[in-house]
Amino acid sequence: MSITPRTAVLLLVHRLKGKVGTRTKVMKYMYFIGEMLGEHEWGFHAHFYGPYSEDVADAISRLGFLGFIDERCQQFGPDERGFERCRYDYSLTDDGRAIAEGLLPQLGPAAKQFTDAVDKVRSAAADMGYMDLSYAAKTYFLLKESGKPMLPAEIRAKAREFQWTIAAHDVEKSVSFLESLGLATRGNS
Amino acid sequence: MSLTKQVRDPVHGFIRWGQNEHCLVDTATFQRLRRVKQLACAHYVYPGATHTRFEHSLGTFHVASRLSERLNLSEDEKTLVKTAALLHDVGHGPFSHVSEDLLDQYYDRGKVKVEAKETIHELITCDIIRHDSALAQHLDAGRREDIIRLLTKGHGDRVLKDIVSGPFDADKMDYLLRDSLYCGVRYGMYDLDQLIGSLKAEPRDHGREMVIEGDGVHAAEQFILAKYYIYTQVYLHKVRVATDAMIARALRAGIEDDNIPQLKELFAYDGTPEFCTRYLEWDDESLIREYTSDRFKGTTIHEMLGRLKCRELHKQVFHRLISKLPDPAHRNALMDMKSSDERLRTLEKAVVAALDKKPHEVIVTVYDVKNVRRAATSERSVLIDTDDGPTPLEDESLLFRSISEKLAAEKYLDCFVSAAYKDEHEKKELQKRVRCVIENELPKALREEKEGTA
Repeated sequence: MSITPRTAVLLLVHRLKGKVGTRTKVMKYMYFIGEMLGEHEWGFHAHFYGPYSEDVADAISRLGFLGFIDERCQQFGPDERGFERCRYDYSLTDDGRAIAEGLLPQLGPAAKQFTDAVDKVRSAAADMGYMDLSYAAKTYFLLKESGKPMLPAEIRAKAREFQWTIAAHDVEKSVSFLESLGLATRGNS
Repeated sequence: MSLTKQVRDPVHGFIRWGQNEHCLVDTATFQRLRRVKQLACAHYVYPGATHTRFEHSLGTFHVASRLSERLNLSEDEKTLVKTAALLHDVGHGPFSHVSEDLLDQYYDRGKVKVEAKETIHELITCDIIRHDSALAQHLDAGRREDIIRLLTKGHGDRVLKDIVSGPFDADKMDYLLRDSLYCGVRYGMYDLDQLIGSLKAEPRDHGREMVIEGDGVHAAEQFILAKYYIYTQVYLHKVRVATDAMIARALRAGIEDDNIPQLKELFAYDGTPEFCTRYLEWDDESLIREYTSDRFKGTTIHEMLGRLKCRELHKQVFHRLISKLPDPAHRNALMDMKSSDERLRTLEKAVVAALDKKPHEVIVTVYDVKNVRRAATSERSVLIDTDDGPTPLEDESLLFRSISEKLAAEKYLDCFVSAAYKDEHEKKELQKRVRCVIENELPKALREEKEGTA
């Protein structure tokens, strides 16, 4: 059973016991979970910051407006052009929790597959910040796009075509992370 | 290229085009757009809003020409972008966006596979460009396919797609100014010259991309504010929403209650060239004329379109922002619901019974900004060229982010009723009765909601 981006984000925040962190983190979790589950309708594409989906971004907004997740903006003051800088943190509301818990039994086996995928990403990402997740997402995107095995130097060169910068040690860390999710394997060359 | 034609346009002044575009404009396929109003029945609330897809298409062509110059496209790219901009609306059916809902409901699912992000209306636009013999006389097959690719997935550098479909595309740049002017409002006004002057093409990914210069952020914000205000003040105006709902209901009744085969054929898209031929025979005027003729006397569509023609409009008696409904399960269920959903018919039946009305005299509907103006949902972010390098606009502008999120999230549940009230007291009483019925019936209507959608 296919899960909509809105259901997926809600269940993700629920599975992570309310606290998720930044919007970037939600986006990257959704990207990896979607790839693990073979969800190709969530609309991810190459964006300035790596793989990104407007559908997922809209889902986050709608969940906020529906009162299912709580979005808190941490202000960092204005930048040099006078625009406020903000980092968003998300947590589940009581209404959101009730809806998520009502949905899980309705989803049947898909619910377990989804929560297993969340657990796997959470476990693999335990010591990773949102930037690490972002590098891993870019690495996976490039590997998938090339459709063939790539050397670390090739990944970094390909990244530059998208104006993404990934350091050698970030590629290494990313591949280890992707291996633990079953999204990549390491060859001998 | 010789400039052979020019017309004076109320929004942009002189619009000039070459021989090839002139030939396309002169086709019956393009001229049909003169009979498809830009804002359907918005003229019932803004009397000046009688402008059509025809002048909007010329305006979009003109803005695309300016953007092509500004972004230094090659001559071939300019021609492609301008032609795509000119033809981008040829697939609009009678009453524009109302037709889109009907097409989504009645297309032939056995013959047509719709991919994620595709709409039937866009498929029809592509089919018309591909198969229409009048257009084919002036565009070779290769060029037609280039245009189709550009209007759908993109063709060539990303900057080409940015001009015809994106957050700052020629379509929006034209319709905000045009709709404002014809409606007689100032909500959609922004500084077109400043905005175009703030854009440039930067190399990125595998090609060039549209980028806003660092000091152009405020021009971009003005544009975004204009878009927000015109959505909320014009496109979501209750009379406009009522007329859209009435047309949609009249057409559905014509198909389902009156069993008019030719009406069903109009919306039963099957991907064949024959469908396009039939489809192009219809426009706002021909549809109203046909179904208000004596031939259809006694049918529901005849009665409803007849009322619409005389501006005997259903009244909005219930209006709720779905995100403000008290029960989270109701908010959740209604958020993904389409106006054709059977559960809304359950609510209608309850209101019909309570008010002792005929079935078509009550319409319960859900709608959001995407319904009423079909904002592209897959718009990608646009970059600002800052001292620190290119940065997405949503990161630079809280205003952009807030408005984009608000527009993405707003959805309404409304009820319209054919009614006349003597005074304000009678109006309030009717509204109170309908509110009671809907609040009581909503839990029952949504009880069947067992799908895994949040």
